[in-house]
Amino acid sequence: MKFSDQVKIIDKQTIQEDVFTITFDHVPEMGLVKPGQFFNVACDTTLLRRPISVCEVTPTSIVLAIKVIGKGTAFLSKLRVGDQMEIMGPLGNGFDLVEDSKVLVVGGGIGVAPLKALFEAIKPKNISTDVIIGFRDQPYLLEAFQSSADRCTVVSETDAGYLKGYVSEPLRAHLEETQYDMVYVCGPLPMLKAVAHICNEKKVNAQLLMEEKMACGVGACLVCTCKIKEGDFGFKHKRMCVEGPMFYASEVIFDA
Amino acid sequence: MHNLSVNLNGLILKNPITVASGTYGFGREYADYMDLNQLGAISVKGITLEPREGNGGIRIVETPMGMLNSVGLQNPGVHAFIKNEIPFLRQFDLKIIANINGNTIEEYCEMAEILSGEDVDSIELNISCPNVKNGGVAFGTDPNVVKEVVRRVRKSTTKHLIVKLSPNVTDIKPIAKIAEDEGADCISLINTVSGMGIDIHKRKMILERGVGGLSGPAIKPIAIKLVHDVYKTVKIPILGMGGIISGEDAIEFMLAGATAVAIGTGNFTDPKLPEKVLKGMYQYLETYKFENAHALVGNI
Ligand SMILES: Cc1cc2nc3c(=O)[nH]c(=O)nc-3n(C[C@H](O)[C@H](O)[C@H](O)COP(=O)(O)OP(=O)(O)OC[C@H]3O[C@@H](n4cnc5c(N)ncnc54)[C@H](O)[C@@H]3O)c2cc1C
Ligand SMILES: Cc1cc2nc3c(=O)[nH]c(=O)nc-3n(C[C@H](O)[C@H](O)[C@H](O)COP(=O)(O)O)c2cc1C
Ligand code: FES
Repeated sequence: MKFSDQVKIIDKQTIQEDVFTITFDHVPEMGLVKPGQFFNVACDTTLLRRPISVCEVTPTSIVLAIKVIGKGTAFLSKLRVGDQMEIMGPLGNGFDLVEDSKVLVVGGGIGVAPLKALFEAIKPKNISTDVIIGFRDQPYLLEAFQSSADRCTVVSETDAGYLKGYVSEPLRAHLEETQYDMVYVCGPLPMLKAVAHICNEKKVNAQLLMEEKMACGVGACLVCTCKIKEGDFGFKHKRMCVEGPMFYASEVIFDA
Repeated sequence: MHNLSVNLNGLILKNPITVASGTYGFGREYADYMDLNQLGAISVKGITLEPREGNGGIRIVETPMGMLNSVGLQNPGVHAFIKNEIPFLRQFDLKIIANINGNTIEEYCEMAEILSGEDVDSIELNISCPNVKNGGVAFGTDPNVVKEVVRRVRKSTTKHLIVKLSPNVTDIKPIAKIAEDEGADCISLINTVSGMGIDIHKRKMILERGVGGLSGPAIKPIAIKLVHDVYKTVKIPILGMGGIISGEDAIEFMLAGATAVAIGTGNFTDPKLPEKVLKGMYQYLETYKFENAHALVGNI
């Protein structure tokens, strides 16, 4: 049986006005939890659960980092240490982890949450790990990247004292300079699209952590599908919650 | 111990709790979360003659206590179902209901014929899907077509036959009566309620086809009323559904006239829901000293 039960919140931190972390015990029934996997979290204020990626995984604890978007995440933001939270997971395929490689991690906004778990898992095993992170205004969850990435570039859309602009500009420059074996990406859809486009053009392997509204989280309802290339001209609707949320940039078809 | 088994006119379920088509995949998706042996039956994802990729664009809109879906019958086709899914489900002690869909009456008949020779316990004729261009709800809301499709499918198979009705009609009673007269063994209802959502920022329909199917607790009162209407109209048993998320909801459906119930959208809120609904039903029977589940049917 897979894990679906209540967990007790053992830590909660506000890291920005609308961004917070929740920590709970990594119990044995959850088994191995991979970076890029997620939990489906029940919210009292919504009928459907909310998918949230793992941001930190240790043998004893799991941290989620959540940005308040609407009703569900607002409810989660009000939970306190000691409260119970109803979750199921881990769900989804997660990232394919590489070793002995030159790696680039590209994140935007709350998309850095799953990339933090990824970064901590792959950093020690690779030749070099560079990072490019973009934010709308003030960045968050940066420490781990800044303290141990080989190169860490932060961009912001507003004047926040960082390089101004989008991740695509430094991305192009990085790809010119370095032959990366793998690029890991998570962020808002326009960013995923832009990064996928650039990586495909440069023929660099990239893993995208995609996002789509979900219901069941286990592959039963088919509301979370994503268009994936099949053969030369065809496509298949694959389930983001089972075959994803990680797909390779080379296989995703982005509709207009 | 109470006797929970119910008889849907030849289809005997060990308990009245089933899962609704399209919300439980082929069972295997939930098998890691719940013991499928607890289910009376599963109605599998709607199947078609050929595999289908379903609708494009956004497929879900969450609404207050409900959701609109526009999946559009994505499925691996009847042959893959027979080859891969029936053997899996047969490992469990539950009845298998094959939910069939077609573009034409001929397709429905062909599916029924194919499945007649296979190890399924019942065929559920879905003439109420709002998310496809052909067949679906266009069939289920026209009494003449209902008559024709039920009659011809009935001739195509000796299997237990359930006809699944749409709530998107002015009066469901004559349609239920036609289904009964043409040989349905059981009626299931309700399928989703036609609905629509608009993105006010893009000033566009959220769903590519505009219309989607509303499900979940938001539709429960509609479903209870329609189950009761049908209960008053036909003699064949009813498999009731629409918004069940608790044991109490399931009891309400049975009191309205359903002999068994199906959990749909509720599965998304809690993968162990069918187990919990079953427990709730036990408790109710215990509290009110009913000896069996059948005693609840239409008992108001
Ligand atoms: C696999 C997966 C992993 C995820 N991991 C994380 C994570 O680690 N941390 C995190 O904070 N979030 C994560 N998300 C996103 C998170 O699930 C959504 O933000 C959340 O479901 C929003 O729910 P809500 O009830 O707060 O907002 P709602 O009330 O559902 O939405 C409010 C408004 O925002 C819009 N909206 C909803 N979701 C998004 C979105 N993702 N982006 C932009 N607009 C949106 C809606 O259309 C609506 O207009 C993940 C999503 C997926 C699919
Ligand atoms: C995502 C989704 C997919 C569905 N697919 C089918 C289907 O393939 N065939 C069918 O007969 N009904 C389908 N339905 C309808 C359900 O079986 C059920 O009749 C309806 O959702 C009402 O029950 P509920 O409110 O408990 O979900 C689907 C419903 C949902 C939410
Ligand atoms: S959320 Fe149901 S199939 Fe992915």
